[in-house]
Amino acid sequence: MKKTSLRWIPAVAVPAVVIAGAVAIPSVANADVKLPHKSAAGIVAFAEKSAGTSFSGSVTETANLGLPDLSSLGGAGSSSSSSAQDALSQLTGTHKAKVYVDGKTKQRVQTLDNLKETDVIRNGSTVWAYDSDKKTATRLTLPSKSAKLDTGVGATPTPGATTLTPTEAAQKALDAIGTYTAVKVSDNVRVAGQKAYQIKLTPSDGTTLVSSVTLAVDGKTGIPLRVVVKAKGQTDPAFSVAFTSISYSTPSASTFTFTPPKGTKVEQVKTPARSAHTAHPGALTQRDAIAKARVGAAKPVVIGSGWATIVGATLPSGALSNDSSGMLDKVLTKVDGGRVLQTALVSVYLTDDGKVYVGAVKASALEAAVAAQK
Amino acid sequence: MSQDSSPAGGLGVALLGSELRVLFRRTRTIAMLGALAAIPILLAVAVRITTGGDSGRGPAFLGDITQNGLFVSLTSLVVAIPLFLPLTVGVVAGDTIAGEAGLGTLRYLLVAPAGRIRLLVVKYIGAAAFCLAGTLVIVIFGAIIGALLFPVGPVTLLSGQTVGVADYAGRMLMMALYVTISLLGLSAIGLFISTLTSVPVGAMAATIVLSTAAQILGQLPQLAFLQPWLFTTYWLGFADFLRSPVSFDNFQSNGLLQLGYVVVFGFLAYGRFATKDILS
Repeated sequence: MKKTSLRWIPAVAVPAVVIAGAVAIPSVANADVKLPHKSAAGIVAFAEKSAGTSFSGSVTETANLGLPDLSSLGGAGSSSSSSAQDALSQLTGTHKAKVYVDGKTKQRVQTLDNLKETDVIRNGSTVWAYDSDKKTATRLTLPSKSAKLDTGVGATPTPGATTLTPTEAAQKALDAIGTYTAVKVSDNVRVAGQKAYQIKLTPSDGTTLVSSVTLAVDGKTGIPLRVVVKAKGQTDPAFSVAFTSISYSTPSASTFTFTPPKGTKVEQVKTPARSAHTAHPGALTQRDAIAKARVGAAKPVVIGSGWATIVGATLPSGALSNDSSGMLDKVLTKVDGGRVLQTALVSVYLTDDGKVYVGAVKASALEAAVAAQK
Repeated sequence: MSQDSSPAGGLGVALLGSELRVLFRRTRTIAMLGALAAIPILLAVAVRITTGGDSGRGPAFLGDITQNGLFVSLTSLVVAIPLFLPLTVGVVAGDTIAGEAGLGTLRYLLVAPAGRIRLLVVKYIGAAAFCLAGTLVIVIFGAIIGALLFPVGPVTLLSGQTVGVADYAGRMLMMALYVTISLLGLSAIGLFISTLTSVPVGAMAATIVLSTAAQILGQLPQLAFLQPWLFTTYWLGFADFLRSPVSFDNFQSNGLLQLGYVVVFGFLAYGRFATKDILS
């Protein structure tokens, strides 16, 4: 009997060690990261200076906005989806992507979904967007002026900052957000195996749904490695984008070449001269630019300022009518004069006359602000 | 079962050889491989005779088959991974120890100086060999029937690049390897369950039920925290070999995860089997 129980020892010990290791390793990795001290302004300057650094890496994006996870409803195989549905599924669940950057004018974001992929490839002034599922390619030619602007992952371009040193630009940026935001340095972390600085932005505006935004900036190169957005009244991050691995070697030139394959529907789009400019960690700006170009040159309406800014736009006719599955109706709530979508982080208000308003405030505040406009 | 001339120091090679011979000569194994081969054949024939336009429904890549027969293997893998492959692997893995016990041949196997650990390892390698055989059968029969019924040409990857047939064949083999590795964790679970009972059907059913249960758990957003630990999580990740550049992230994570399952359930199976009183 004794011998029997002794024989069980390795059989129990080894699985226990494997399971304990799998659970414990991620939490140990963050212990005590030492980097030379930098102020909040110093870290922002450092991040600004990183523009143009070549690298490639894997990115994981997680959205936890309190919406039903539509990515699983679509299933692995179904290939019919409207653009509204696409946008919604991008806002739910976890998405993986690869990012390749070579200098300031070559970027590629490869979104890896099960059995399908979307690519946005920028090579000089040409941007290609390819969807393997729908078999469509969109070609966008950037105006020569904005081709010089960095829209990459490095940093958010600051208009008119070309004559300033990065440090001055960072200070200006910090001053500008200072009126709406408290900026604080928090503990260093390890992201994607790199030592990184962290700064935390807290909106001073009480009406916004955003509770805080935390940036992790690589201690060696200054590339932003992680952005975590927390919403009020929710402990899990509402939205996070982070590198899971990164390499600082220049990606091969073939990574940035694209020729639409046979049987693909190709669409040509001309951009308006003003380039899209969002607070996202850069990777998403090109897609936004294409989305905006598609919507047309309708000038968006801006209500309010700071974190509680509300942006309104006119939808192209028929943008919602092709939602065959009624996916939109499942997440929208009917209210006076339209329908609203309330998530943990942003609210969307679709008016019956075809306008859409988006803001990081409560849906009721959004409705009130829109009503006050009329 | 027909294990005889294994010399004490033969490292189990003879035992492995006889195990593989017995496994692949079994009518049941041949029938299961035949059923797997029927998947691409049925699929290709169905697509060939129904010339109606692609309605955008059905498994991924189904619409591509009419343009390029090489997509038959791929679509068949997509169809087979959630159900048919785990089903057949569950039958083989669940049968490993319980089957011998059920037939009353287990004690004769152990009378020969084979040792319980060696028998367990040999049985597991046999199950793993079946995983590889099952996947290859789907891929190869898919390629053959696809080439017979449809035009074959350069393949468009998920990233939009086009590669030649030779390049695609290499990628297809890597995908078969990926799928085989994906099934190793399930085989280890089956081996462990198989040591618990002497009723092979029970072990088979339990293994198959677990693979289905894991897939259902993986679909529930409320249980998202569980997903990285489920052995089914990376099952559909094989399409990473259709990207340019090829992404090895899933391959690595999947390999590590399956290795974890093999170690955990391998040692549990050893613990159970080494301490078990063999009565049958």
